[in-house]
Amino acid sequence: MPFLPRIPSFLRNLTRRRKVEQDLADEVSSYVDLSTQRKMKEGLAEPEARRAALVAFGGIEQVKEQVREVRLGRFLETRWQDLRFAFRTLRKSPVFSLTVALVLALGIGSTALMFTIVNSVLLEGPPYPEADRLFMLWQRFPQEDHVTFSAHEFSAWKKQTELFETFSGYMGNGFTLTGIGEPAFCFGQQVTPSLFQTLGTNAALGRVFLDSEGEVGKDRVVILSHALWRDKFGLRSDVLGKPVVLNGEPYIIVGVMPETFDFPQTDAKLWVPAALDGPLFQQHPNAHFLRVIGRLKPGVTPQRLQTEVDLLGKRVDPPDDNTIRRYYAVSLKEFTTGQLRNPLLVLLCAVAFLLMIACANVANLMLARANARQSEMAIRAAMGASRQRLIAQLLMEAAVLACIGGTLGLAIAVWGLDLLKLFGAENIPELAHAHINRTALCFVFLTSAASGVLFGLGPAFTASRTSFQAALKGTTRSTIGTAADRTRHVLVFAEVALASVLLIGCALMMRSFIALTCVDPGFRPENVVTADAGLMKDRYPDAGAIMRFYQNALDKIRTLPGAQAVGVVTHLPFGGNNWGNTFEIEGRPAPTGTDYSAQMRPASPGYFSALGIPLKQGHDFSESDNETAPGVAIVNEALAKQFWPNESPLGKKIRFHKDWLSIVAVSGNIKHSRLDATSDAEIYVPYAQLPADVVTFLGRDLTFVVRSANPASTASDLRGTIRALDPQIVVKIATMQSLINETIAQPRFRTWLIGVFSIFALTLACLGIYGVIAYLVTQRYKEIGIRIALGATRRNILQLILARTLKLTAAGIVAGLIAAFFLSKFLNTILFGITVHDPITFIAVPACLIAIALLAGYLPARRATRVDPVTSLRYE
Amino acid sequence: MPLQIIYMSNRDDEFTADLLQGTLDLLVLKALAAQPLHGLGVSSRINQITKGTFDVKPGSLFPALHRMEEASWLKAEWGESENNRRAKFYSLTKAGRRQLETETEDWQRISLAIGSALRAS
Repeated sequence: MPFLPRIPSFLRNLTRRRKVEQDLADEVSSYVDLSTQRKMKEGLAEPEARRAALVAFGGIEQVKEQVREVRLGRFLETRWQDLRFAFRTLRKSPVFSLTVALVLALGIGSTALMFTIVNSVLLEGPPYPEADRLFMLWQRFPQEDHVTFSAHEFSAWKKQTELFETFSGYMGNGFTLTGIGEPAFCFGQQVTPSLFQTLGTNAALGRVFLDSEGEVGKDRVVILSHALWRDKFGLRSDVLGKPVVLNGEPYIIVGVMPETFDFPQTDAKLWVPAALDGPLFQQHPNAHFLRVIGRLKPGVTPQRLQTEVDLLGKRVDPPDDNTIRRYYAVSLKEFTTGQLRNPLLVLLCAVAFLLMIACANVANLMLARANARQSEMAIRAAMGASRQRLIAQLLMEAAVLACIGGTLGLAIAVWGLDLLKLFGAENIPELAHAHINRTALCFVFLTSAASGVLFGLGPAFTASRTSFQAALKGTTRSTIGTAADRTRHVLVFAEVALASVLLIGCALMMRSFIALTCVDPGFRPENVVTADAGLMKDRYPDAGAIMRFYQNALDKIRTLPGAQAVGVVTHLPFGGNNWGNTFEIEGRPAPTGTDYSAQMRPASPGYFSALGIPLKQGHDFSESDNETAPGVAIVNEALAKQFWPNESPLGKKIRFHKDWLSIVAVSGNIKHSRLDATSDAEIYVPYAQLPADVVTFLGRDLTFVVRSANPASTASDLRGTIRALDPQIVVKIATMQSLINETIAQPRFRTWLIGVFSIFALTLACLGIYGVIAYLVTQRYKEIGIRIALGATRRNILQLILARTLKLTAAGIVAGLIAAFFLSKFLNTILFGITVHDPITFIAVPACLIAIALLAGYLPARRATRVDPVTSLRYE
Repeated sequence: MPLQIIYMSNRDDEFTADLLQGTLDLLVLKALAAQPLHGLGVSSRINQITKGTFDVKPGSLFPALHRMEEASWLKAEWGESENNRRAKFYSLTKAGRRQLETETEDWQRISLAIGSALRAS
């Protein structure tokens, strides 16, 4: 039948319902009137005639209902009715509705939150156009991985590569910005001019670098980050062309990047050109400064890239260079998020479990409710509601709940994301890019819909299958009891099993985190305050000036009240800096094609006692170890063991520069940048004996280390002392402990997250157990009454119910343990210090779960012991 | 005893429903072919033209009239009845006449076919 002519009727039925109804009523009454008149003509008196007419008519309301039944838009109208009715029913039992909505919101919200993070960090990748074409190049040496490029190597590759459309390098650098308010320290990047083309990002204001600005003389230009522009220049658009002073040298501002641009990480505040023909790179042609990133030509696959990188790698090295190394490519995405993938996927699984537990819980609640509503359903059916209609009605209620749950869940996700950014963004920079987008919204909608159907369908079918006669007679237990009971038990079993897996995972991660915090860093970080001071070129042009500042500051700081031990180092553990260098051993040349390498630590006398690094053999540097005295060095145990496993290294000679240094002591190993890494081989040299070119190059960043009886006052004294010597120096104060804590922020963060999810899961599982046991007690009310009447003690009853609880949960726990045993291998990469089958975890978690389950069962069990046999027998 | 046409709203029995509904539709259209009638009029007219075979009860008549009106086969207007009562008069629309024609043809074809089927031995 044609559709178009029906539209007016359809709209009229929906919008002018009252008029349509009135019309129908009029028509019906007119029919009855006419019919009455006819009967009167046939000779009946009016009352009888009317009665006869009405009888012949056959039920005014039924006829009207039949008309309504065929009206257009009837389907929508019915759903609308269902919807209003669902709201009314749900409002009538607010506790139930609220519980269901909250449980769902928790499940959906947590899942949406984790999905948003996974989506933006892992699925979307770095925020640059066609980011899948961005690859980084690295070198692997026999003794070291992740080695960056020297200027020389970079230029050679850039000249010869045929795979990359653009090829760029960058290196981090600290900059002291002076001339605008207080001097400020900014972390920045020296980049080859093409970096911005490689990334495919343009400046928000002004321009990016020109190719010519990668040459000495033209390289005094700077691009600001949005944050720096805001903080230091108040977002003024006239900054372009303005001069600024960085590390004592004048630069001209040529551009400002967009707010979202934060390559290579969030703390990058400015970018300046790296002039590869400049003194820094020319004087150290073989120093591995540059990280390399390139944009592949369209269509180059990663496999092809690696093959050609292998080939080109052999061609690029000059023939006289016999270093053993391999070049390799890593996608930018892999580089930035590779180590986040496993923890994030584990967390995503955790929330998926949580969502399933929430659904099982809600299904259980709905089932209990459907059970309680059997008489209602029976009456509806008796009044003529079809089974479809009853199911539709119950599904509508589930849909309304899912909608409310989904909306609340979305709110939880939005709020949770802000909270996570607030606490985690500093240490997990990738979080900054996480936002709730269309994909995430679709995800929330789908999970809500799916969970709505999941938990709504089962109970709806069970409830609508009720035998109505039985329901009305009040003997429903025998009719739907067994099927529904089985469903409830399966649901609780699933909840407990899922919760066990989650808790095992959580416990493993917590144990691993505790193991991490218990790692001995090799020194005593308590009561140690550090002050980082960067010396700028304009005020400290040569090694002499730097050395004078070093000595003055050290002397002043030694006299600070409360200072027990004072030292200086250029590369502080957990300070974020490292200086790897090659070295030689007198009389022991390295095998061909390789070099001996170690981490260099220029330090002052007193540094070992200030930081609490034990000296295993020999003695500390002394004040007399200066530029005129013979060179000395202290090596750590790792180095000593590597090169002199069976003899004392004391008195042996090594060199990393021109002069031979004799080893005067062996220090204990320390962790330098990560608690979960092994200790590197280290060489400490006296700062005062550093060659002049090394001082001006690597010795400008001094960190004063003070072991203090009163760290709080020392912190401010330290800043004051250094600023009194030179007010232009930017001083960064930190306690050693806080520096260490920053490096474990990420594991702490994920441990917290999984902890929170596990607590949710545990709560929900408890709720499930409680619900089922409470229901069981009501069901067996009569039986318990009889038992008590026959002389069962409170203790017997308690035992009876608790045994039931135990039986219910034990199966779930066992299943959960078995699943966890196999699943825990996925945690392998993110666990530290414990095995994935950590026995303590696998014993403690089930014990804990049983205790909690018994607690959940105890409340209803106690109620069972108070059953009055007389009332109970009258029950039902 | 006249046959009662009961419009079946029970969708489980769709075949019967369709058949009966089709018959009822045809009868209503035919009843209205001559002149506009109100509901009771339609019912009496059907009774009259089927020589008392069909007695259409309001429970079937009203849904049928409303459905056909929504399908634009019928047009309804309030008017005065024979004894000055207000009543809703239904008349055929152009689409309704066309529908009557097609349904008449269909019915004749079906009844011929069934008739010959029943005569066959």
